[in-house]
Amino acid sequence: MQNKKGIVMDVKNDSVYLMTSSGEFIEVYIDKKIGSPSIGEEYVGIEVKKGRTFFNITKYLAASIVLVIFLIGSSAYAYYYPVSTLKVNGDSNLEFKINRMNKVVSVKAFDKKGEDVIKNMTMKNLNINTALINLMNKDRQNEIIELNVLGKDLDLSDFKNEAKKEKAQLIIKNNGIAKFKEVNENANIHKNGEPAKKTNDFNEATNESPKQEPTPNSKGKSESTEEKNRENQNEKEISNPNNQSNSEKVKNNEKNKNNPKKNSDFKH
Amino acid sequence: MYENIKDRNAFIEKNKGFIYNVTADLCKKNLQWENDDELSIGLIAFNKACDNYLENKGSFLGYAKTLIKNALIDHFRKSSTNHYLTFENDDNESCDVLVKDSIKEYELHEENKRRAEEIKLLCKELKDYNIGLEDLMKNSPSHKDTKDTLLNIAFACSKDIDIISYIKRAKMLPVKQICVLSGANRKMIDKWRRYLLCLITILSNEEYLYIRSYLNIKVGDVNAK
Repeated sequence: MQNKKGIVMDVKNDSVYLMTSSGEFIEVYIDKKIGSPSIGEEYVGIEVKKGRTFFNITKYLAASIVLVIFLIGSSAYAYYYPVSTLKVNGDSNLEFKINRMNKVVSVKAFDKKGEDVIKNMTMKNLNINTALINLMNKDRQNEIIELNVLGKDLDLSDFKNEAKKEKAQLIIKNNGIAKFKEVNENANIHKNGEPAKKTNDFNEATNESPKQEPTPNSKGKSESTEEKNRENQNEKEISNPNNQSNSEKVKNNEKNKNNPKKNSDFKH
Repeated sequence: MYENIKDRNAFIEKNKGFIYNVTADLCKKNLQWENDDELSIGLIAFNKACDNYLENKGSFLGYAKTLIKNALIDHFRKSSTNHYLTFENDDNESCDVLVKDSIKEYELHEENKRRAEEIKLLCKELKDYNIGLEDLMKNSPSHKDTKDTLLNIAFACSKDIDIISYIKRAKMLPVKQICVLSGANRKMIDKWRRYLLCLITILSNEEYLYIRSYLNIKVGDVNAK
């Protein structure tokens, strides 16, 4: 801290206001030893470094609060935003909405049984595998559990393993295309739809009426060889295209001519 | 003091060195007794000091120095040629030593009293302009170039009667006029307006003798900037 010299303009409690010979107006600390000066005297003292007295904290406080709210909001949004939908056709007819981290965000029932299930069991915020396992263990009358995944691919390996242990019959469809099957060949099975073309068209239907995201699929007859390959319980790698763009592609699909009724459900 | 002309002349002769030091220090250049106006002005001022000195004005040499410096600043203010003023830091002025040697405690006390009176007056005038000392403390430039620029602007304004009368009337700075006069940036004038007002007041008002002389103002040529 520098010693500054000047003539005293005013005296405060701990400091004096000086005017230096170099034309500066500064505030210096009073040295207790020398004593308090009077106005007009020449005085030497250590300059008071004000730092940032005008540092307006409210501006920065408000900005940081806005930022925090934004962060919280966006993480909440990201967490709750569903990237996949999983429809369960089994004992009960349920629809799960699942977020990026494979957790259940919401669950809806389409029949009475489903409603009961939801009332009695908490499934939100669980991993989808856990939720499905719980569902499976709870009550199983039908032999076959059919899952239809729409949207992002889900890792249902845990559930598949459990299902295997329980010897449940399981069909997992991805965007209407069967991806995993573990069924008793003697049992009555749903017919899988037509195989996907390489352009990733959808041409299969599920049982329910189409919702907003999924492209309505039609139930076709299995005729091509690819279809027969399906029945060998191999997992196929089928990429997961954008649902909406395909609604137009499906129109072009010749197989769908067989089911003109379903065309009306397409989004234009 | 020294009413007798002969004694007066002798006294002045004796203090020529002192007069020279004060003047040359302010003018930042070497002067010659034969040629330079500044020295004659210094002489005249010294003479005036001899006439007007009273014990209650502090030490004689201090008083003389005050008068000489003020006379020089006034001279530069009234002259038409442009000068460049600067604030200098505490230099080891040779005349200071002389002054300090001769000061007795009583004289120092008187000098301080004079200054105190002027300061009180200045604070009052600043209050009229709605400037408190706290504002001045917080809004005082520390960079040398800024201070020098503002000093010169203030000096130019103090020459201009219109600006001075405007200030006295409106209690504000005529920013636009000042911009035109000095060619300075408007933003700068707005930023340092309190400091500028204070400087203009100190420079233009005749009464602030001691305050003015305390400021280490040096006058140089524009080219020598």
